[in-house]
Amino acid sequence: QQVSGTTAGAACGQAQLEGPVRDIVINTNPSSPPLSLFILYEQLKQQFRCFGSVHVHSSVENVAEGLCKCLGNGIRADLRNRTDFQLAITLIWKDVKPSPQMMMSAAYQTPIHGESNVARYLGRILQPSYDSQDPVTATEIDTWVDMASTQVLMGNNKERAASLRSLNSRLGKHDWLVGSGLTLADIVMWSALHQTGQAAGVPANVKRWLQACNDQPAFQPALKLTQS
Amino acid sequence: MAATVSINPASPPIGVLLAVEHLKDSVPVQVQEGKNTGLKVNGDVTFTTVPSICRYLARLAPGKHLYGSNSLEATEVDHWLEFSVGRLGCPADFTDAVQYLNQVLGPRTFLIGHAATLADFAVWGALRSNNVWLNMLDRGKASPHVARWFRFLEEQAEFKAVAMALPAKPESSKLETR
Repeated sequence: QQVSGTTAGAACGQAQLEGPVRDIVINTNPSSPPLSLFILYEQLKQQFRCFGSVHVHSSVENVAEGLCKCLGNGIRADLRNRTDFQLAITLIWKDVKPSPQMMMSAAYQTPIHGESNVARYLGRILQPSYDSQDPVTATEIDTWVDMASTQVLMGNNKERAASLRSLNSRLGKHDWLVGSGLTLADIVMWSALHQTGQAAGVPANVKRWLQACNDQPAFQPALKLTQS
Repeated sequence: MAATVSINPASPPIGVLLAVEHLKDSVPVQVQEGKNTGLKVNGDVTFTTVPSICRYLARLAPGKHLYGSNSLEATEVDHWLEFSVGRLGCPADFTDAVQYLNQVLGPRTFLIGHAATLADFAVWGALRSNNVWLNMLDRGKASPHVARWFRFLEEQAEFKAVAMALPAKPESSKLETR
């Protein structure tokens, strides 16, 4: 099995992550890129010194150029400086199912399946107090993330239509899915709607919210991928 | 102020009942019969799914470690919560899902770490209310590691307490009514 790849890093951020480099490997299928990953990576770069690398496994062919550069912004980093980074994310485009699958290099664990759960893990790095700070808000966010995953990404047409109705109803009264600002719920739902080709032709409130997401700086690389 | 969970006795949310039982000394929760499963938090928010109610209750008592003990374990819990309502809940995926579970449970007593978490509660509950699984278990055709794990948990205190309140396993109840 051959893997070819490019590496790139982005040095910024002051926040502290305990221990040495936290190493995350994500195998994911290029037929449905987990867009939320790229949004969260933009947010992580604001807080931590991140090191991203992208590889293509021999089980997939013709991976679009944009996907091969998705974590890098074209900046090459020197591998010798890897320990200067706090967070290393290795993304491998590979024919896996279920997709994506996330592993930590230094832990005895079950690989984490699903874009939703990868997003939750990255979300906990961004906000370590996520589970303890406000149980109601955290659980509301998780309820939308569940819906994005089980009803939109993996759901049938009926479940997707029901999800859009729930979204439209919530967004008729509020600007964001939970609370008064952008959360993981918005990021994962935005990603699910785009991956399933539903972002066009949504009801008015959902359309307005999609646009508000599109205006966020962290969404720009992911948005570009949907347009290519 | 005690939270109130309403449950439909015809299809009890077993994972929720296990969490309620496990947390009874830390988080007082009343269980009442209703048409639908739900936990009303306030005028705006009601959680209606097993994963959501389980998450909320576990987060009220972080010291009980039902959500694991670090961010990776918490995410593993999320992985299994989604598995319990996703692949395991979908008839077309059920065989594959049990096979996957069997592979993971090979070297393990619990799904995560060294004690029961929401992951065990939700997955056990999904299997306990699945007739296909119960029939496989009765006929000795269940995947061995899943069967061992299932029966081991069945003997634990909170599982025994919840099982007493559940309707009998479908196969045996059918026999009794004949």
